[in-house]
Amino acid sequence: MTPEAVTQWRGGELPRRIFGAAVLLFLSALLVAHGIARCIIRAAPPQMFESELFGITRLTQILGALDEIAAKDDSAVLLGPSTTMQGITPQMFDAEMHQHSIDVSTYNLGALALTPDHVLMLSRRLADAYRHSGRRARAVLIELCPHTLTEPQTQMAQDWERIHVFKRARMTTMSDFFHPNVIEPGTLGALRANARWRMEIVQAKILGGIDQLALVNIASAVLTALTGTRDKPRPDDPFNKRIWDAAAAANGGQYPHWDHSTRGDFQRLRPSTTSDYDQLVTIKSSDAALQRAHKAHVQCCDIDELRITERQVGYLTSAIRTAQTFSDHVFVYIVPRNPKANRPTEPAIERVRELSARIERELGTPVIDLSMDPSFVPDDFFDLTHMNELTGRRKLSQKLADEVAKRWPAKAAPR
Amino acid sequence: MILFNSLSFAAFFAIFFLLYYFVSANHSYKLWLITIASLVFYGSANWRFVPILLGTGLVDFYLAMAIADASDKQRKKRLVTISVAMNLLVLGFFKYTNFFLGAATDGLRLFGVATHIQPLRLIVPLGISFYTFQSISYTLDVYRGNFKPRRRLLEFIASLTFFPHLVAGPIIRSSYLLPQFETFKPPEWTVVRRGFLLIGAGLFKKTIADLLGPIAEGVFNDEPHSMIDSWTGVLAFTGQIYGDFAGYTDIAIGISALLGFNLPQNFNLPYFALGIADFWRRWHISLSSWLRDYCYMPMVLRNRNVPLSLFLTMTLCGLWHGATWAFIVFGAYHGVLVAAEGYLGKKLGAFELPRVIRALLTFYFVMIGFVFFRAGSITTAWKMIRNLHGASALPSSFHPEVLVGLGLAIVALVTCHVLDHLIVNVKRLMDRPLVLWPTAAVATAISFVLGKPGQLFIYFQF
Repeated sequence: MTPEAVTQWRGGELPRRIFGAAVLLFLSALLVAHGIARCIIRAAPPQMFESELFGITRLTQILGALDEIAAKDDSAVLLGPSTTMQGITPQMFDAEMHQHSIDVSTYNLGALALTPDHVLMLSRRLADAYRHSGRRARAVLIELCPHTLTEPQTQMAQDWERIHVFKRARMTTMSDFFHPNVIEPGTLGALRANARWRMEIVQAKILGGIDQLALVNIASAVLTALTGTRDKPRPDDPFNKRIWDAAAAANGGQYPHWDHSTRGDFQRLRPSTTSDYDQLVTIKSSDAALQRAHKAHVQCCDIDELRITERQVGYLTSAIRTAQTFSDHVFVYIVPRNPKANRPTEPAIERVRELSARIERELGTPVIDLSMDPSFVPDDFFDLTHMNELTGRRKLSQKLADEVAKRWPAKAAPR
Repeated sequence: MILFNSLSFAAFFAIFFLLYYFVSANHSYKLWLITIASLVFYGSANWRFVPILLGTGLVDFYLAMAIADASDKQRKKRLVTISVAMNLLVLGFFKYTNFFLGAATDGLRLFGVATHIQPLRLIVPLGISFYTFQSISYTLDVYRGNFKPRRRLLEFIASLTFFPHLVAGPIIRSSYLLPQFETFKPPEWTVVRRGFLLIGAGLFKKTIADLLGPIAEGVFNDEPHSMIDSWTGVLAFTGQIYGDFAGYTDIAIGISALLGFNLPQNFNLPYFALGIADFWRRWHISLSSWLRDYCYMPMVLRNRNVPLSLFLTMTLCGLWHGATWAFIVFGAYHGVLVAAEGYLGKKLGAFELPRVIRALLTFYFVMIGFVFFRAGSITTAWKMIRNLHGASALPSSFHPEVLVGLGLAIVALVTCHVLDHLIVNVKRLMDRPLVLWPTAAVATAISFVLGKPGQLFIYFQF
């Protein structure tokens, strides 16, 4: 066919050719895009994906462990952000539960910066795993972390939002969109409600989970590796440098990720680094550090006003509903907050209270609110929001177990 | 749907193309289809803007006929004045009312008169600066006798509202576009191929622009920044604004080519310009040539003062971009530079700096101009310019993030220009499908990997 012969619309040859070219171009671009994404991921330094900022490595490892967890008869899981990850030791929790004659093997599936939509995704992956194993979980404990239910319109929040896409891409399967019969309507509604999010996930799935932020981070990681400045903070911020050095010493040079043998216990502290850990806590819980952290949390998560959005509440309630499909018992808990620096306003506290009451009323799920528990003092905290591994973590693990045991239905106790 | 880099637009265009194919045998049907589709496209942003678009178009259509039919010159002049005034009033009301109210309040305050005029709650209709200029050019061309008025309303409305160029240009004169709506020539396959390449290139440039956006964002604020940080931010914005606008234009030209329409080139390697006047011959060509023909030429013919006419035209160019003092300074700054360039050119005669030096100097002055464009206020712009020249107390440090940002900005600028050079100057590329298609596919693929669908275009605000 010569070009001259196809210059007429009427015969249909030209439009068909244009359409054909468009489809071919689209498909080949998709193929090339997939290749580029894969190449970038392969060429990227592994450190990039192990970044503390992303927390993706732990999450990926958690996803890999779900089948094994679901294969156990007495499994219980904790779902939540870093406040859960750093706040509860499964062994301590189980020991306390045992005191109340309840035997469970708890797994801490908390991960860094896990927002309610992530919790929903993780909950759905757990549902898949339990369905495959033919078993049910003994209990699912979901953290209600009020400041993850907000959506402030700040640059920092937007930056975090871009990071969150990675996690969604890791946790979602394409079937989430095409098999509505395997999930209950509320969850599907929550998924379908956000078209942009859906697009991002599909894009990330098709292309290998990469976007511009990743490229900048990869380039930065490569450059820092080449210039020998890897793992060093920017030299113009001595305060950050102190924290960085102390954290590196306390971690023994390695950031703790998921460990199946400890059922996901997050151990920053090692026997050899106790004094380093103390030093880190001293810095992180100093007034200056708490002020900084507070300011950052106001920007990223509206921590003072806690203007909770219905969208995030929708994800949380969907996560609870999903958990109810594969678990004998579901509990929601709110972890203690640092009384020294984390003081939301009265309306904010009221908002959280109302949400708790709503969850109990509408979902029939007990909410254990430890946010203002007087037994937790500033020394129990590592920083603004997280528990101290030496003091507060044990207290929280035991306290939560006690509260769960109190609410554990009597008939179900012996097993 | 109005965003070319969104899936909803892709779906819209696919449906439109299918329908276009089915009605291709009938001229009127095609006109109706283009008009309705364009209004749906435009109305998807805000339906309230549609009557304004149609209203100004209708008035200009009938005024142009009246101008052509008028027998005496005075009447023609009156009619064309009505047309220009009506368009400028509509544009001015929506775009500049609050600016002038604010300026009046500030001015009165200078004289000790304290007033507080509440700004009006106005939404600037999308693309108003683009389509009013097209409308004005139509009646002016008819008035000047350069173009015969059209008698078929539908053809005029279809060309005015034609969706590829409606929201962010290029500004196309009716004398250029209307004849194409009369003939509806089917595209040649080579033009179609070029269209696909331009779409790919446009998506790629937009992606680059969106990558550079956050880098610029981090620097254009009131906080002090080191010199290296400031240069990184300005360079990033220089790349962002080019990628964003040139990318949009490329896609507009590309999709028009698939339908058989030829839109004019709007950019021609602007950052390789050898002078500020040369820059404006390469940057937003449709606007600068419009201002040349309808502002500068009449002005210079009337007052014979070239530097003053240049200055006023460029200041208007700044004001066209937006109703802030920073945009006015942006235009005036370019006006001074263009006038000075002309003056120096005459004084120095045959003496010329080496091309590389001229290109670098031009690029420097263009970047400084963009500081006013981006900063939003003269205070912020001035702070930024001081930071750029080492006035900041912060020492420059070459930490990785800055190097990445700086490298990204430079690579982006170079890549975009190389791609443009290939498309604009290497004619052979169009004849080599084995090079053209992979280039288009790779450019599109990069936008798939790194792009964020649905990111806004900067020029939508104008």
